[in-house]
Amino acid sequence: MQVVREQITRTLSSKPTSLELFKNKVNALNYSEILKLRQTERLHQEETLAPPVLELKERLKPELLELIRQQRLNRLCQGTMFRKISSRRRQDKLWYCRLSPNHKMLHYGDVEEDTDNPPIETLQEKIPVADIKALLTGKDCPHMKENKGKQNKEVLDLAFSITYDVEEYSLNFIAPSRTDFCLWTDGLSVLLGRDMSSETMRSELEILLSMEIKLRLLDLENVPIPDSAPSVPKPPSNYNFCYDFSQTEQ
Amino acid sequence: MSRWVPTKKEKYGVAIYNYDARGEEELSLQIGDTVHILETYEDWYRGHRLRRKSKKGIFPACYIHLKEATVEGSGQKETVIPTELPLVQEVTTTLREWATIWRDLYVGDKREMFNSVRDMIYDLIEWRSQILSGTLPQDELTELKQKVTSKIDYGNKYLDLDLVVRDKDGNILDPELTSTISLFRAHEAASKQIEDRIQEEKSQKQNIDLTRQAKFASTPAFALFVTLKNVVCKIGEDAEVLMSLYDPVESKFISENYLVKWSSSGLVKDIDQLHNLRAVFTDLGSEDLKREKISFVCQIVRVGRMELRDNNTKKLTSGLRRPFGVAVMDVTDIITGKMDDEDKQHFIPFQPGFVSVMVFASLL
Repeated sequence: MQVVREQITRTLSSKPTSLELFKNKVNALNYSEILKLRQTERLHQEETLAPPVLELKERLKPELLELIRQQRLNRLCQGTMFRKISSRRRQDKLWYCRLSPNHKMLHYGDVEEDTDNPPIETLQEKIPVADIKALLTGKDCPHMKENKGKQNKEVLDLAFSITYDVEEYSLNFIAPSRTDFCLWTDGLSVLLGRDMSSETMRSELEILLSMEIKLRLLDLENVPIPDSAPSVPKPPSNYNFCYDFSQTEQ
Repeated sequence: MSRWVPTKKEKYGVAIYNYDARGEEELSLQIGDTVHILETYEDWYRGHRLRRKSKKGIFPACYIHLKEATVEGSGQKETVIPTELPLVQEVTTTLREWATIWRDLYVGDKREMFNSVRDMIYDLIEWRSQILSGTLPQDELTELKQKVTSKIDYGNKYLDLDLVVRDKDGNILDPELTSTISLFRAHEAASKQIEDRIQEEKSQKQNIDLTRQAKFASTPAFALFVTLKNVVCKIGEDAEVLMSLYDPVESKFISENYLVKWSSSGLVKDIDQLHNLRAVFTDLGSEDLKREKISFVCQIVRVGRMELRDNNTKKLTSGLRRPFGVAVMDVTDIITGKMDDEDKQHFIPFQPGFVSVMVFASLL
């Protein structure tokens, strides 16, 4: 019956101008159509987002950002293979960079082709994280400023550098992919105590948030949410509770 | 003096809005939190969140949407169990369990698993919504329940979690009501089923199915032709010989019994039938072909006295059927066509005693 009612109400809301049209529309709106419409509407319920849900989203962000931070640092500890793009040689030189497990040292060094996950000991150079001064990206990178003529947009989007020590030393990176660029710039931002800002971070945050919200709203299935906060009654005139939990509670 | 009163009907609900506590006695709630309500006074409830039982406080009644629940225990120690379809309850618990693991998968950067689990969680959420909407016709509901239990079982296996054992209708088996042996067999069957499904999902990507289907398409149904030649046995009384096919892996008979009456003189009762003791076990299908093992079982039942040794003829009871012996022969190879057995006689030794049966079996 609910389905029939829905068929009729939906068709009426589109204001058909004759009985004929009404009949046609109702017939077109069969059960499977109603199911599909319901599905999209359910999805929209979260999208249209009642104010309390939006509020909850904001409150959940810090916790989830922390998860993302942890993930970034884990990725940096795993490390990535980078290429030194050189216009002269045909084969680019490969080097690997990874963060130490205690997050205090960034190790890097040249590697041969095909080394998957070289242990930290094989990487000759290192930079203490405490010495890192700044993170630069794109056009601001020293290695991008050099060959102004030879830059192309792609490489600019993958380039980042860290400057360390007082004397303008910098370690220049060209990420193998945009995702790696985001992972590394986020991770380095975390190490520098700054906020993460990559687009990957934003999309992952959205994924984590919408999952969290969906799970929180599970028990609210079919329960209407008010548009505004219900008014809080005045405080009770006494606190003479029936049950005393003071002994069981800490 | 007015006091707070324990609630009778209002025991369980869910918060429909965020509520921030404004004092020591108050409890903060987030939209979607489920609460156990203990007492009430002047538009306020006192209770705790189901997720954090230790912290108790008061909150406005208008912020709670009440739901049905059964109460167990009484007074301070009571607990609430929400009234919901057991399957819905199971899905909710499973989802929360998987979500924690899913977050760990994210932090550990296990991308593929992260994405698979995300899809599974979303599917379950969607299906749970559909079940709760109450608008599905009965047959679609049953189908959906089946999909849900399959997904839960698959996901649990994928994430290496404990296996949930169900009965035919998908309900969880209650260990208090099921025997240990049935429970064990159900575990085996469930485990195997899930393994098969995982293999199927893997092989679907490899297309092995085609050859298997081709092989079975050519043998839709077959029959086993058995001729009983002789029963050599010192029974001392009339007997009945029952022959049937049995699956030792599943521990059950897969055919009816072929009964031959044998007399105490050592020959078949009905002498005219001496060379005519034949039976055809028909209607064996591709499922039987797939069985790991099939045995041909002969059971001998003695008809007569209670105890063979009993010689006191006056006080004898007669006409009693007493089990005497059993003979088993593995016919898997004959059934699957591996052994060419035309005109071959098989000699089956019996347990216990000195009995043997000569049987002539061939596959039609």
